[in-house]
Formats: sequence, C-alpha cells, structure tokens
Amino acid sequence: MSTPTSSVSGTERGGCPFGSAGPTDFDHNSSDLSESTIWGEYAALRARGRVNESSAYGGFYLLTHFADVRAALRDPDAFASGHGHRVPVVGVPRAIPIDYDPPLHTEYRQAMTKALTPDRVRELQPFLRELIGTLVRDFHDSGGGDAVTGIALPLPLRVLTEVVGFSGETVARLRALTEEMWSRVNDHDYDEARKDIRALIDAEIERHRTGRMEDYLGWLLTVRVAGRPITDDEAARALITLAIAGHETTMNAAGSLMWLLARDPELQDRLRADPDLAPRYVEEMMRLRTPAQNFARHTTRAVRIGDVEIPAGSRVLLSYAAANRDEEQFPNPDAFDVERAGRGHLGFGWGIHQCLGALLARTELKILLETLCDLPPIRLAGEVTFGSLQGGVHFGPVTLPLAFAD
Amino acid sequence: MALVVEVDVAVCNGYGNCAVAAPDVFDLDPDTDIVLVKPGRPTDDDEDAVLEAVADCPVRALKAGRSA
Repeated sequence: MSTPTSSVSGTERGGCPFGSAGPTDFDHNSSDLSESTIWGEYAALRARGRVNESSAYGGFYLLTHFADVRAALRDPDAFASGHGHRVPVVGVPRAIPIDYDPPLHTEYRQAMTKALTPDRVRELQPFLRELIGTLVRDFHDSGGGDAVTGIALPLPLRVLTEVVGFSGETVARLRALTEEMWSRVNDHDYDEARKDIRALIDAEIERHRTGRMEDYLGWLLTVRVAGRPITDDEAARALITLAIAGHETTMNAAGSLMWLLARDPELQDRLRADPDLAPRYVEEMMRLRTPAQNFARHTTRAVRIGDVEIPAGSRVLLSYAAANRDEEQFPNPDAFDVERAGRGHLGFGWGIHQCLGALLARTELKILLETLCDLPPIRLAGEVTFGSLQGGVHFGPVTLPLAFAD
Repeated sequence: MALVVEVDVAVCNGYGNCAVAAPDVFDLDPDTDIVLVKPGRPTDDDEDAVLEAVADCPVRALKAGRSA
C-alpha cells in the first residue's frame, strides 16, 4: 500500500520502541483493502503487537487488541476527540458530537439523543414494522434483486424522514452526496469536502424554520447548549451526523446481515426455526462484520501500553473491527457463533462516544430478521461485491444479489 | 454499610453496557429497553462488577455507593 504523504517515523518523533517489527504502512483508506484482504491485515496487525505505528499520513498509532481499544474508549480524558475522529486530519474537523470533548460534547449528545431515546424507539416500532414489511415484501414480489438498493439503503433513509424530519427529496440525494464526500475527505478541507451535504441540510433548516415544523429537526433548532441558544451552524453539524451516520452504518449492517444468512443456509435455517434468536444474530453480525471499523483519537498525555509509550499529542486509530476479532476475547474469532455472549463487542464503539443510534439500529435489524423469516429463505443470486472502507471507516456489501428459494 | 446502586431511568438510553459488565446485577427491561436491577442485587460480592458497570455507562446513568 502506498502512502500519499511523507512519513515521519515514530523513532524520529518520540524516540519510542515499536518492538522488533518497526512501523507498518497500514492505511485504512487504501483502495487495496476490501473483503479479501482487510481481515488478514487486521490479524497481521494484532500479531505484530499491542501497539503499532503506521508511517502513513505523517505517522499514527494503531490499537487492535480488544482490551486496549476498550480501555482507550473508556478513557476519553487521555484519548480525546477534539482533534477529529479520522486519520488524516484535514482542516478543522467539527462533526457534532464526535469531534468534541466534554462538557460541550455531553450537551450536544443530549440534544441528539432526544431523537433516539428508548421511548421514542418504542413509539417508532409500528412504523418500523410497516416500513420493513413493505420493503421486504416488495423485494420478494419483484423476484429479489440487489438487496442493498432494494432493502438495506431505503430502510435507513426512510427512517431518517420519520426520526429527524428530512424530506423524501432530501434523503433521495443523500447517498450520492455521501459517496462524493468520502471521495474528497482525505485531500479537501473538512468543510469543503462536506459542502454539498451542508447545502442540503441548510435548506432543511430553512424549510423547518419557515414552516414552523414540529418534528425533531424543528425542535433541535430551539434547544439551548452551553447556556445559550444552539446556532444554526451547530444544528447543521449535528444534522449532518444524523444524516450520514444514520444511513451508512445501518445500510452496511443490514446488507452484512442478509449476506451472512444468504451464504449460510444452515445459519439461516436455525434463525427461521427460532426467530427469538434475532437479537443474538444482530450482535454477532456487529462483532464479526463491524460496519463502522476505525475511529481516531488524540492523546492528551503520554500513555503506556505494554512496553510502548505513546507520547502526548499523538494520533491513535482505534480499530473496532480488529478488536472484535481478537481471539484473546473471542475464541475462534472469524466464525459466526450465535452462542457468544451478546453485547460485549465494540461494534457500536464503547463509552461516551458510543453510537447514539444503537438502540434504533438494533430494533430495525431485529425487525428485518423477523420479517425475512416470514418469507421463503434468501439465497445468493450472483456475485456479491465489496468496495474499500468508505472514509476509512464504513464497510459492507456494495451489491448483494439475492433471490428467494420459492 | 451495604453496596447500593442508583439508576437514573430518565437518562438511561438502553445501551446495555451495564448488563455486560455486571450481568448478575443489571439487565434491560425487554419491554422498555431501560436498565433494571435484578431482585436481591447488588450484594457485596458484586462490588467490582458494579463499579465496572458504572464506568462503562455511556450516559452516566449509574451510581454506586454505600448505605449509611
């Protein structure tokens, strides 16, 4: 894998040892990483040691062992977020809430959680059952096809209209604009890369203000943070997060789940015989496939992990996906095992930045599985394709041709 | 002084991390997805697990202490 920027080795920068292996050139944004290579890359990093340094992007540290990634996520004072959640950092990253630290982060999260509370998710259940039922039955009635465009993508987009208050026209443009954004994030200023999505969101804010709309988006414009009214800029940044993270993650999770079932008839039969297993299938998919794979932090002080000291001010990429296949934590880690204890993985992250939409996603995916169990089994009907990690983070089937065993 | 846990059900957002850290003490109510404390819990033997659960809660909905 090539690296687009010059490298500064950790030895030059901090004088720290990296074990016998030396720095790697691991680049989570590389187009070489896809289904056939990425899991082996993660395994190789885990085998090299608890702390690796990549020479890409001027140098960054990598944590891939479950215990270390989890410990970092539990220590947001030492592993802070205020310098952005990605590597590389281009411009000034200001995604709300993930590029902020407490106390402001806490206030932003509270305002965003309002859309996603347990009460709200319970209230949404009839809508979710109706929506998912319609999507899956239509897909079945048309003889199957690409399950990403037929089910996995429209599901979260429609949910965004209901949960946030975006229009159908807005969410219809979201996927293409998001893909375009990912193609620009590594070599454009932060806000420049997101300007088309920002324009879409700004128009939604205007529409809600003019129409005095009383949905979540309308409410968000009226909240107070840090003892003052939220600004339109802050509301827009929070809404961009809901728009992007709210569809890309669920799309990949739903696609991954259907792919796992379609490629393994025995696994699917077991669920169909006992649909109460659906939540376990969801958790084990989140562990094994980890739709959002890598997030960055920066160290506010020197941190010792094993025999390596990571200096203060270092970029550290926490690989949830690599950690979720750490055999110290998950024996036979590459196998889908319904018997594993449910929620102890890092598929939604862990700690104060843990996925805001986890409960909604768990509910949607459970209903998707239950709905599929009411129809004939799904089978692969062509070549499944995977791209590289979108933004160095997001991963799932890009196309998933399915048919029903009618 | 007995170990006591205090849960803020208005803050709980149904992550379930507590039930991973202290499965004998915490669970999520299957109907509401909000944390519940299991009957007769916590006991003094649960202290380590409860402290883990408190540290693991993404929204700080749990507190542990000792009764007077």
